[in-house]
Amino acid sequence: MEKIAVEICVGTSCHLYGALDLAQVLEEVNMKYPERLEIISRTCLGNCDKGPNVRLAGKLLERITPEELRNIIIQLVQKKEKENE
Amino acid sequence: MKFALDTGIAGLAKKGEELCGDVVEIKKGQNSTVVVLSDGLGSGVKANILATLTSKIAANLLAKGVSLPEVVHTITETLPVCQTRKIAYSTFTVIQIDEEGRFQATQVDNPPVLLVRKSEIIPLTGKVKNIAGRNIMETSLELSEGDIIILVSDGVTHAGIGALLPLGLGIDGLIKILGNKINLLANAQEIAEEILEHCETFSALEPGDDITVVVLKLRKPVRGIMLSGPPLSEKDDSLVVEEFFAGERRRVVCGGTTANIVARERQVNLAVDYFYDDPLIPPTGSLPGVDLVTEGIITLTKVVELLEKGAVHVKNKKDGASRLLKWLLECDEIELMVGLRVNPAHMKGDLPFHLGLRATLLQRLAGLLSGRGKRVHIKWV
Repeated sequence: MEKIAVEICVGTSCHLYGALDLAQVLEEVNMKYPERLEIISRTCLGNCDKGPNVRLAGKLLERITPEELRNIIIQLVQKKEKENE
Repeated sequence: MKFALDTGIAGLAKKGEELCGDVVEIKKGQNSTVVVLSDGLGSGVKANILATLTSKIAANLLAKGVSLPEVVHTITETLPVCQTRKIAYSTFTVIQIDEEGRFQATQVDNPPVLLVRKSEIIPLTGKVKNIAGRNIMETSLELSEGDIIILVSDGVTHAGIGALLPLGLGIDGLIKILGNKINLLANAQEIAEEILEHCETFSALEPGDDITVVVLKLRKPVRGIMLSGPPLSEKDDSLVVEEFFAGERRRVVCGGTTANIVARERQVNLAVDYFYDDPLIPPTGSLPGVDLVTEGIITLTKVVELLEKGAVHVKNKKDGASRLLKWLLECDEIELMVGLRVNPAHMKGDLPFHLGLRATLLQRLAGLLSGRGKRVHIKWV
């Protein structure tokens, strides 16, 4: 199954906006659904004042909360799994 | 410069005290470095004031060429008198090392200075003089590359009293530990921290006195360059990156945007971790040909904070600030290449603080590193 690319920004602004909590969510989802995500760290996604930023499968998610990120990723992973069934 | 001095300081305040009563002062002159370790009477604030005065007076006067009897006299006359004990007292050791390796030590009531040469560990002795009623021991010798000089406060030789070692570690105990337990090939900071860890263990983690260890290691000068911040003008990016990679020296990039510029100009891949070793410090990254890539302002602020505290403990830490500090302490001559372009997003109002502080922060860092005996040069780009 093709992995879903998740780019997380850990630059200064996003760090201050709470990138750590997002990184923990990614780690958690990665443990729950191994081999589904390709997590890439970035130092800037060019949207500093609207952080924290994550680019999920090419789509930029700004001001995202950990809960929102968890739900969106899990939905996407489950959708991909269904498509592959 | 024939030799450089790798300096390591580690210290711990007596249990229950916020301030350490031992103070280390390093003053780098044109061709030589003066290191003073002073231990003030008692502990806490009073001891800290006595020790600070002693080390500052000694370092400044000696660097200006004032004779030793005058320095000792000035210290005795200047120190404030303790209300309880009715005396003004501090012990101190002054070391002067020039770039040719000529070494002079003046010891006033502190435990003996140790010289580690190859596998031999020798407590330094010398002529004893009586100046202003105090016994002062003077030693001079020629050092060579790889020699290590160790200064300790009596908290080290007394470590363990009332805990694991009824008679304290003593200078012989310290020599034994140095010979058997400590990796003397490590850098000065690591050696200092290792000695401190042993003392802490002997004191059952509750030191009965302030403990301070200063390690000086003679080595060939290590040159390093740090690039932090994008250049003011975007068209200078390639020139700045080219200059950053010129010459034989160690390199570090401090700042996400800066790292992206370097990666783009060198056409290499910037790899960034997303694991947080410390929740307060953003993760580090790596670039080919660069020792370390860290985030900018938050990491630098933490490094400045750690240096301002005096004694640092970075040996086993993996977060960006500790690794950057370790890197800085390993260098003798550091060029700080500071970009002045400001990220407009960092100036917006809803971030907890304004991030346009790079220039001020780097100046503070340069001052603190000079205080550690480093030769620092800032280049604004």
